[in-house]
Amino acid sequence: MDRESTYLPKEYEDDMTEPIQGFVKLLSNHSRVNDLALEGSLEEQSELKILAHLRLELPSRYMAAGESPNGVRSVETITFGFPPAFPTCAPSIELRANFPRNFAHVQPGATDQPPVPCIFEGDINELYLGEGLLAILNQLIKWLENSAIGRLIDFSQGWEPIRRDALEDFIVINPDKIRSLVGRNSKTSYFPFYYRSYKTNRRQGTKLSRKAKLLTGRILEDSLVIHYQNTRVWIENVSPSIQGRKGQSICIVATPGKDDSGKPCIVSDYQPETVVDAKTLYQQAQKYGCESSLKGGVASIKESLKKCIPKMRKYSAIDVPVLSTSFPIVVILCVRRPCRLIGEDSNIELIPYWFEACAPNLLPNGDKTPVFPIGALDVLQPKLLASLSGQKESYSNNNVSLLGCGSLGSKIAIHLARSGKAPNRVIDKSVLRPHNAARHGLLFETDDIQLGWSQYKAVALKDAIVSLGQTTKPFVEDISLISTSPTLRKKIFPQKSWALINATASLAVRNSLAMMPSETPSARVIETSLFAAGRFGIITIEGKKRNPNSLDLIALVYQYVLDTPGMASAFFSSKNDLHYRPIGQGCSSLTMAIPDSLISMYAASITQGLYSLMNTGFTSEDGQIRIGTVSDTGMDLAWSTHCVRPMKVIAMDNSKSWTIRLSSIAECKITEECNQWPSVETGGILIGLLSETLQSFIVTDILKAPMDSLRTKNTFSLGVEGRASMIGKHAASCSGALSVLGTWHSHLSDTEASEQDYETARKFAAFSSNPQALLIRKPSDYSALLCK
Amino acid sequence: MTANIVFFPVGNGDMTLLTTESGKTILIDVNIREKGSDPDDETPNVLEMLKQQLKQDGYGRLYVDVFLLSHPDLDHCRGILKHFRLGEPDDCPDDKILISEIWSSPMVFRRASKKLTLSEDAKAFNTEAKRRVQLHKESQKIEGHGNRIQILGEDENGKTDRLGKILAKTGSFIPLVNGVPDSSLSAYLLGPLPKSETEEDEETLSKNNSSVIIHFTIEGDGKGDACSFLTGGDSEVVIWETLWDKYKNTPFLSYDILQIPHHCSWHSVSHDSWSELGGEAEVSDEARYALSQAKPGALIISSSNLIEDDDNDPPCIAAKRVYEEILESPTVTGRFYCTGSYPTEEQQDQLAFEITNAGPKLEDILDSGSPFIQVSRQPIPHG
Repeated sequence: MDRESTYLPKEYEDDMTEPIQGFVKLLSNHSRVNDLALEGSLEEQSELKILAHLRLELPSRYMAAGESPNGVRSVETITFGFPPAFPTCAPSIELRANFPRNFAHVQPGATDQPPVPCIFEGDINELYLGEGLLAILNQLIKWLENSAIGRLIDFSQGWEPIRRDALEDFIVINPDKIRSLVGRNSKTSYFPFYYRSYKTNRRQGTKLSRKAKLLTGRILEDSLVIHYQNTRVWIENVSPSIQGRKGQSICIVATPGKDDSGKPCIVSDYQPETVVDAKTLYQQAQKYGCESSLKGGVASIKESLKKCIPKMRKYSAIDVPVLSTSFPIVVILCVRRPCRLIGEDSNIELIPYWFEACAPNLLPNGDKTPVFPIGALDVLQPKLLASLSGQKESYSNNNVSLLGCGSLGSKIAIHLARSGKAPNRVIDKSVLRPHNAARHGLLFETDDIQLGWSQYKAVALKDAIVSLGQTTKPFVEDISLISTSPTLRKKIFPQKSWALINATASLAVRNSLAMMPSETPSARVIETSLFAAGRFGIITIEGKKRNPNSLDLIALVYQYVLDTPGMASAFFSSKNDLHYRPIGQGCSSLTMAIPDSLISMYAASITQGLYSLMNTGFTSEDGQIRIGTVSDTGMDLAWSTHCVRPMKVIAMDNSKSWTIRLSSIAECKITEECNQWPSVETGGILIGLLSETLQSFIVTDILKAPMDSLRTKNTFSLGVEGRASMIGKHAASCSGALSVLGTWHSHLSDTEASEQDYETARKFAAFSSNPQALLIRKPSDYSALLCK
Repeated sequence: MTANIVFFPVGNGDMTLLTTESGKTILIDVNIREKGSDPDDETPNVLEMLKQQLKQDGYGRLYVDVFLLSHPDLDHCRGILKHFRLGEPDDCPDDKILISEIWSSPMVFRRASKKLTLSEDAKAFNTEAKRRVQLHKESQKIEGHGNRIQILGEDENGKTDRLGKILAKTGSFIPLVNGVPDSSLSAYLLGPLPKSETEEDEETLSKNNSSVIIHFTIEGDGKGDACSFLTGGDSEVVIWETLWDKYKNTPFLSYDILQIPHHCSWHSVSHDSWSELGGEAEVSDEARYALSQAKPGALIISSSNLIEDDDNDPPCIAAKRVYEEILESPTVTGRFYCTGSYPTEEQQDQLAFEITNAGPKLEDILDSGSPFIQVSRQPIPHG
C-alpha cells in the first residue's frame, strides 16, 4: 500500500515545541496514520492537542462494514494531548467521545469526559520514557484492534477486572474475606475503615486529578454492627495534621442478589465506569444487582448518624462541630462474573468507591454528592510477597527456626519474610542495645527510638515479621542449653522442622547443636557466620542424620582455608579477631567493626542460597561448605562450594564417650600412606579440632611421619627429627585453629591394639595436657585409644 | 491456538503456510531461492521465516503436518530436495524439515512428464511420493509420521483404484489431515479435473491445468466457517470455466481469501494473449464468475513479483484490474495484496493473516515508517 506523509500545515509548527514537532513527524510518517489536525495552541494557554486518524486492521468482514459490531471503526480518531510537562511525561491519549466504554481496558471516568484507553500494564510514562512515542502509538493501535475483536480479555485467562491503575487513592483489603460475604441473597455488611488523607501534588496532565487530597486506608477484617458507639468515632477521632488527617470510618460492602428469574445475578457485560456521584453509583449498583443492599447500607448509616449527634451533644462535654465534620466512606460493590478473575480463584469482582460523607445527612449534596472510584490493593500477606519476589507461594521445605537475631540473623529473617517465607521460630536470648543499630535488619518508630533499641531481639524481630503480614514464634532462650534440654529442643526444633539456621556466631551454640541428638532425622542445621572482619563468610549445611555436623564442618572450613594459597593468613589473622568495642560507660561489646552494608551483602547472598535450598530440599546425604570471599574493593562477593562426605566415626577401645571423627580427606591420606608401605607398619600425625564438649577428635588432615620414624613389620615408631618445628609451623599457619590430635599407625593384620599401643597412649597422655588420640588403621577396620 | 495463513514473498511462485486452530500446519508449495540465505542479497529468507513457525516433533525435528504440492513447476517446489527430509525418516534432528504427510496428485506428474522434463526438486518429490504410496500398498494401513501420503484425485486407467483410504477423489472433502480428522479445517478438492470432465483433449492438458485446487474452510476463534480460502496453483482459464459450470450453485468457490491462480497471470481469466492483443484481449465471463465469489471484505492475494503497468505476464496488470474490480463491488469492498510489494517492494516480508471469527485480519508489522526514526528501547531499571 502506498504511504503518504501527512504533515500539518507549516504555520502550526510555530505553536509547537520541538518535542511536539518530533511527535508530529513520527505520526506523519507512520504507516497507520491517515491524517492529522491540531486543536488549541500554546498562545491560548491551553493544552495543545493533536488529532490523528488511525487506520486499523480489522477482520475482513468488519473492514467491509467500516466498523466492528462492538463499535470500533476501521479509522479511529485519537486525540493526543501535550501537557506542559511534555516531554518529561507521556502525551495523554483520548478516544472520540462516543467511543464505546464497555471494554475491559478503559480507564474509569465521567461520561462527559472522553474515554481514556488503558493501553499499557504499568505507568505509561515509563513506557514512553523507556521505548519512546512510537511504542505508545503502536501499543494504542494494538489496543484498538484487540478491542474490535474482543481480545482485550482472554477468557481462558480469566475475567479482566475493571482497571483502577490510574487512581492514586487506594484501600487495602483482604479480598478473600470480602468475597466470602457473597451468598445466594443480597446482603449488606459493614467494616471499620481506618484512613489517612494527604495533600497531594498531582501530576499535571492526568484527567483524573479532580481532588487535592490523596486517600489511603485499610478495611479491617472483622465486620461490625452499626450503633451509636461505632458511629461517634467517625466524627470524634479525626485527627488533623500538617500532612492531612487520619481517622476511622466505615466501609459498606454490598453483595448481589438474584435476578428477575430468581437465579444468582451474574454480570457478563463490561459496564463502563461512569460513576461520578451518588446517583450514578446507585445506577451502577443496580446493573450489578447490588442496588438494594447498597441503599439499605446507606440508609442504616444515615439513621445511625442522625441518632448519634444528639447523644454526643448530651453525653459529651466537647462541642460537636457536626456540620463541619466530614469523613470518607468506602463502598465496595461485589459483582458476580461469568468466570473466575485473572489470577484469582474467584468469580467475584470487587468494585470499590469512596465519597466524602458529612454528619448528619451523610450525603452532603444528596444524589449529586461526588463519588470517586478507588483502587483496592491486596492486604499484605505471604502470597503477595511471594509473588512480588518471584518465589513460589510455599515450599515444602520451609519450616525453619532461626537462631540468633543479631545483625546477620535479622537481615536473613527480613529477607525471607519479605518473600513471604518468614522463619517459623526466631530465637535469641539477648536484648537489643543502641549500638546494635549500627548493623541490623530492624528499624523502629521514630517516637521511641531508644525504647525500640531496648527490646528482646527475638520479640522485636517477631514484630517486624508481623508487620510483613506473617507470624513467627519468638523465644528468648539460651540455645546453648539445647543439647541438654529435650524440652527446649522440642520447642525450637520440633519434629516438623526442615532446617535450623544458626546465625548466632556462638561457639557454645555450635557445640551444643553438634551434640544435639538426631531426633528429627530429616532436619538439618545450617550455620552462617562471618570471619576476618567480614572478608569471609561461611555457610555450612549439615549432612543427613547430623553427619557431618556443624562442628565437623567448621573444622573442615579451617582445613580448606589452610589448604587454599593466600587465604589462611587473612582468615586466621589475629588482627581481624573480634574486639571489645566500648558501647557505654563501663560497657563494651565483643564484635567486629564492619559496616551494615557488608553484612547485608552476605545476608542477601545467604538468603539466595536458602531460597535455592528451600526449592530443592536437601538433595544429598552429604554435608556442604560454602565459603564467600569479598574482593579487595569490598564490592564483590564470590562463593565456592564443597561437598563433605559423612565423617567416619570410630569408637575408642578404652573410652565409652570419646570418638574419632575421621574426614574422608584424612582417611584418603591414611590409605595412600598405607599403600606406599604395604609390608611394614606406617603412621603419622592426626590434625584437626578437639571438641571436649562433643568428646570428639575431628580429624581433618594427616601430617607425614618425621624422616627418622621406624617402620617394621610389627611396629611403627614415630620419629622426632623436625617434628616439633613441623607441628609449630602448622599451628602458626592457622593460629592454632587446627591442632595435633594424636597419632595414627597401621596394623598389617586385623589385630586389636597391642600392649605396646596402650603403652604409647599412656606416654602421650603424660606429655600432653589435652586428650590425645591413637588411631590404628587395620586392613578392614579402625580401632582407637584415648590418651588422657 | 490462533489459526493463520502466511504468504511468503517468493516472487513469481507460491509458498503458503496454513496453521489451523488445532495447531496443524499445511504448507502449500515452496519456492525457496538460494539467494534468500545470503544476508547480502535482498531476496527474503523465506526458509527462516517458515522455520520460525514450525513445530518440533519428539525427536527435535522441525516438521509440517502436511505438504501439498499443487503441481511440479520449479516455482512451486524449489528447495524441496535441499531443505526437506526425503526418504525413510531417521531419528536424528538436523536442519531439514520433515513432512509428516504428503498431499500429491499423481495425475499432474503423469501429464507433466509427457510434456517436459521435471526439475530435480520435482523428481525428488515424486520419488518420495511413490515411496510412501508403495509403503501403503504393502501395509494397506495409514502409515506413520513421515511416511504418510494422501493422494488427491483419481488417475486414469484405474491406477489409483486400490489406494482406498489414502485417496481423496476430486469433488469430495479430504477426510483426514495428517492421518486424523481435524474439526478446525475442511478441505474440498476441486481439482485436478479428471479426464472426462474437460473438453480439452487430454493431450493438451498441461501441468498447469492439472494443478490441485482446494477450497479450505478454516475455523477461527472457535467459529467453524471463519475463513474460506481458495487456492489453485497455476490453473488456467479453461479450468475456472469448467469449475464455474460445475460449482456455480455451491459454496465451494466463495472465499474470504483468494490466492490468485498463476501469479496473477492473464491466462487464468482469458483465452487471449495479453502481450499480443493488449487492451483487445477479452476476459472469459465464466472464469471471472468462478473467481468472483468474494465474501464481504475479501482479500485477494497475488503471490508474484510487483505488478507494474507493463507487458509482463505473469504478473499481468490487466489481470490485477480484473481482480480489483471484483473487490470494488459494494458487496465486497475488499483489498488486494501482492507479496512482491508487501510491505514494500524493497523490503518484502511475509504477508500474514490471523483467522478471527469475523474473517481474516492482517497481522501488520507496526513500524515507524521512517528510516530516520530509530526504535530504541532502554532497559527498565528496578529501584
